[in-house]
Amino acid sequence: MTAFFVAIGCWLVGASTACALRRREIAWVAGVGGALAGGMAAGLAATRALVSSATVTWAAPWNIPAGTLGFRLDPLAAVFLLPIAIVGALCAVYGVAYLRRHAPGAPIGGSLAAYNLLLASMAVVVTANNLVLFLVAWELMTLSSWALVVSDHPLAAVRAAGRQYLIAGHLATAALFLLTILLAADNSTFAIDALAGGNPRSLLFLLAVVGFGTKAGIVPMHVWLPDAHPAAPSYVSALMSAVMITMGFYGLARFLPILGTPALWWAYLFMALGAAGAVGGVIFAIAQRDVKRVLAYSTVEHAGLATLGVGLGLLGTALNQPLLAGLAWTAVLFHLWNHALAKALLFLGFGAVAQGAHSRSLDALGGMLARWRTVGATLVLGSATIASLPGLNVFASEWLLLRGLLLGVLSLKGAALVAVLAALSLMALTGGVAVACFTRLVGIGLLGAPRTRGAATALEPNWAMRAPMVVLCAGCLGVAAMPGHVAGALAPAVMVIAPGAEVAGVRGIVQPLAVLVPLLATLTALMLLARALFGRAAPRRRSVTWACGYARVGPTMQYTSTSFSEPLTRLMQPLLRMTGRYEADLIRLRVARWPDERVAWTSEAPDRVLVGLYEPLFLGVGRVGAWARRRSVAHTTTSLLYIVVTVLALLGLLFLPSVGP
Amino acid sequence: MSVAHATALAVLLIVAPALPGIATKTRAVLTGRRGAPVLQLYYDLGKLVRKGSVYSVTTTWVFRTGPVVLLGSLVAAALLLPLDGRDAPAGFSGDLVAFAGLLALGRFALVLAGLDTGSSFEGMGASREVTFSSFAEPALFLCFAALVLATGDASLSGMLGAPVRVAWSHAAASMSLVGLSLFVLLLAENSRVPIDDPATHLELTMIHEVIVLDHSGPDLALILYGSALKLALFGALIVGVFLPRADLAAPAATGVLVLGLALVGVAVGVVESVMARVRLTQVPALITGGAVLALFGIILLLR
Repeated sequence: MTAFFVAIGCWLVGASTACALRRREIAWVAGVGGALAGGMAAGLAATRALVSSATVTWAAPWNIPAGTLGFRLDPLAAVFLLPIAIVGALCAVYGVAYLRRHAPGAPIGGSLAAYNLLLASMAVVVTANNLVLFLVAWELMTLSSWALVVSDHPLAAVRAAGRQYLIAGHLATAALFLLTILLAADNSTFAIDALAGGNPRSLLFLLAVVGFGTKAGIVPMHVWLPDAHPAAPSYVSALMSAVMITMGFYGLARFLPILGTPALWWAYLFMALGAAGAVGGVIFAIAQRDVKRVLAYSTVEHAGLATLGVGLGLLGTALNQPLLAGLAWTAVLFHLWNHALAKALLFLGFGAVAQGAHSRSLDALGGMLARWRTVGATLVLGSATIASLPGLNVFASEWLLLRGLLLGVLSLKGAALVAVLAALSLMALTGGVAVACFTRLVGIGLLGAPRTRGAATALEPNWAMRAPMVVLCAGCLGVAAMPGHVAGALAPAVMVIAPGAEVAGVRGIVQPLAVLVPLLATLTALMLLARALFGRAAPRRRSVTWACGYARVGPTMQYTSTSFSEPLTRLMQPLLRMTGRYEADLIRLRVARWPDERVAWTSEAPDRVLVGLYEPLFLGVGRVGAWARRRSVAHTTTSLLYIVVTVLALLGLLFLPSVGP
Repeated sequence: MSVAHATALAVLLIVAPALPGIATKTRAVLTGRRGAPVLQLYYDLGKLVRKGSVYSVTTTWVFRTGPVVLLGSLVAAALLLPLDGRDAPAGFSGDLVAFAGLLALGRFALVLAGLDTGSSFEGMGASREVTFSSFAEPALFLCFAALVLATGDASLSGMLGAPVRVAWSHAAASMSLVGLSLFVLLLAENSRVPIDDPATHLELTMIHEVIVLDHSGPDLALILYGSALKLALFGALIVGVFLPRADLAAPAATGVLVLGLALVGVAVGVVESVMARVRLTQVPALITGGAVLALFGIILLLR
C-alpha cells in the first residue's frame, strides 16, 4: 500500500509542479518525471498485489458525513492499476516529444498537469473503498480527460467532440450517482467492501450498465467515443482508448457481484450489446477514412468483445457453470490487458504518422513504411495483433473467449445454446472484418507510394516517441509467448468478481496456445531459409509496379481507402447508411484532364446510434424543455406547479427501494 | 510428432500441388479437351524457383515477407489437422479457432504484400479477398460448431478423428450438410469457380490471381505452392468429415487421405465444368448459402 500512496503522491506532485511551471521550458521534467515515478511505484504495488493475491485496505477518518476515507488494493484493483501505470508512463514519454513537435515552443505544463491528474484519478477509481471517494475520483477522471481532449480547442470540431464527451460523461455520472445513493441507502454504509445487495435489483443493474457502459464504450452508449478519442492529442487518445475504457469494465466487475446472483436476462443483455458492439464497431471502423477514427471504432469493437465476455461470465454464474464463468471472466480481463498494449501502440504509431504527414486522412498517407522503419514495423505488428492473428497477444484472449463459447456449445441447452452459437458466428464475422480493416489501415496508410507531399517528406520521430512503441510491441510479443502465466496471474482477480468460478483449470486450458509462437517462428524461419536458397544464381531486378504495360504509374492511381472498403461497405450499407456527395465543376470538367481536383466524391459514415437515437431524443427533450419554459415564464402558477411536481417525484423516489422486487 | 504424423504431413505437402492439376484435368476432359498434365504445377514450381525476381521500387520488406509468412502459417495450420485420421501433431482443445486464425494470418500477409506494390490491380484483388473472407469466416465457424455439436469434442483431432464415425451413426444428415458447406467454403477460399476463375487472366474480374500480379520467381513459387496447400487443407477437412479413418492402420489412413483429396480435386473440376462464375456482387450470397447449410446442420442437432 505504501508503494501505491507513493505513486499517487508522484502523480499529484507531478501535476502540481507542471501546473506551477506551466509556462516554463522545464515543466516537462515535472510532468514526465511524475508519470514515470508514479508509474513505477504503482506498477510495483499492482504486481505485489497480484503475486501475493492479498487484499490490503487502508482507512482514515473523514470529516464529511460519508464514512471513512478508505482505499483497498485487492487483485481486481491491481489488474486495472497495472495498465494505468505502464501505459500511463509510456504515453507521457511519447507525449512530451509529440507536444513539442505539434507546436514548438508552446507551453505544455498545463497538458502534463491534467495528464498526471488523470492518472492519479484513475488509480483512485480502482482502489477507492468509499462510494463518495469513488464518485469524486470518477468525476475528476472525466474532467481531467475532458481538459486533455479539448487541448486543440481552437478547432471547432474538437470543441464539439469535447462538449459531447462532457455531456455523455455527466449523464453517466448521474446514473452512477443514483446507483451510489440507492446502494448506500440500502446498506446503510458507504464502504464498498461492505455493500451486499440492493433493491430494486433490476434498476440498479440498469444504472450500472448505463453509468459504467458509457465509459467502457458499450453500444449504444459509445457515441462520444469515436469523436472524443480522435480529437485528443495522440498520447491522450492512446491512454483513453487503452486504459480509460477499462475503468467502465472495472466498475462492472466491482459492482455487478454486489447485486448478487445475476439474472439470466442480464447475461443475455450483455451478450447482445457486446455482439452488437463488436460487429458494429468493426464495420464502422472500416467505413472511416480518418486513421484515428478507425482506431476509435476498433476500440468500440474490442469493448464489445469484452462486453460479450462479461455476458458469458454472468451466464456461467447464472446457470451454475463454474468453468464457463472462470473462462469468460479471465478472457475479459486478459482481453482488456491485451487491448491496452496493442491499442496504445497503434494510437501512438498512427498518431506519429498523422502528425508527420499533417493529415489524419488515410488517403493523404502511404509509403511511409519504407522510410519509417521502426514505427512501420511496430505498426504492422500492432495491426496484426489487434486483428487477432495467431502468435500474437490479442489472439490469445479472443481465443480464450471463443474457447468459453465452445465450452458453452458443448455444455449448454436451449436458449443459452442458441445465444452462444449466435455469439460464436458474430465473433467470427468480427474477426474476418477486422482483418479487412487493419490490412486497409496498414496497406493504404503505410504501404505503396506516398499519396501527398506531406507523406513523402515526413521525417520519422525521435527516440522519445519511438521507444514507447518498441516497449509496447515487446509487451505484445511477451504476453503472446506466455499466455498461461498471464491467465494464471489473473486468477485471483477472477475469484474476486465471481467467487464461485472455477479458475484452477483455466491456466492449463490456455497453456497449449503457447505452442503457436515457436511453431510459427520456426516455420517462417524455415521458409525464409528456403526462399534464400531458391534462385540464388538468378538475377534480382528492381522495376516499376506492373500496370499492364503502362509505364508512368503515379501515386494517384493507387487504390484508395474508400475503394478498398467499398465491397464491404456496399454490402453493409443497410447498417451503415453512408452518405456521399459528388461535386463536379461541369463546365471546367469538359476541358479538364481527368482525374482532376474539380471532381470530388466525399462519403461519410455518421454513427447510426447518434443520428438515429440520440439526436432525435435530445432534440425532443429540448423541444419539451423550451415549451415548458415558455409556459412558466408566462404564468407564475405554472412554475409553482413544476416545483410541486418535482418535490412529489423526489418524495416518491424515497419509497422506491421498498416497492422493488 | 510420431512417424505416422510426419509421414502423413509429408504426403500432404508432396501431393498438394497435384490437386489444382486434377481439377484442371477433370475440367479439360469434361469439356472435350486434352488439357495440361496433372503435374503441371510441379513443373511450374520447378521453373519458378530457379528464376530471378523483379521487385517493384515501391515495395519494402512487407512484400518480401508476405509469401514466407503465408506458407509458414499454412504449414502450421496443417500441423493442427489430424492427417493420419487419429490426432494432430500440434493439436489442442480449441485449436479450430487457431486453424481459422492461421488462415487469416496468411491472408493478412498476402494482402499486405499486394498493397505494398501500390498498384490498383493488387488493391482490387486485396479488397475482394478480404471482403469474401469476412463472410467465409463465420461460415467456417458454423461448420466447426456443427462438428463440435455432432462429435462432442472441441478440437480438430476430435472433430475429424475418432468420434466422426459415431457422429455419422446418429447425425448423418448434419454431417453431410457440414461436408457440403465446407465444399462451398473450399471453392470460395481457394478462388475456384463459381467464385473466381483461375483460368482467366483478365485482372478486373479476378480475386486471388490479381493480388500476386507483381510477384515473380521464387516468391511466386511460394505463393502458388501455398494456394495448392490451402486447397489441400480444405480438402483434408472434407475428407475428415466424409471418410472417418481412425480404425485404419496409419499407412492405409494416409492412402485414404490421398484418395479423398483426389476425389475432392475431381469434384472441384466437375463444378468448374458445369457452372459459370457468378458476378462478384453475388459471391457473399453464395458463401452465406454455404453458411446456411451448416446452420441447418446445427438446427438438426439441436433437437
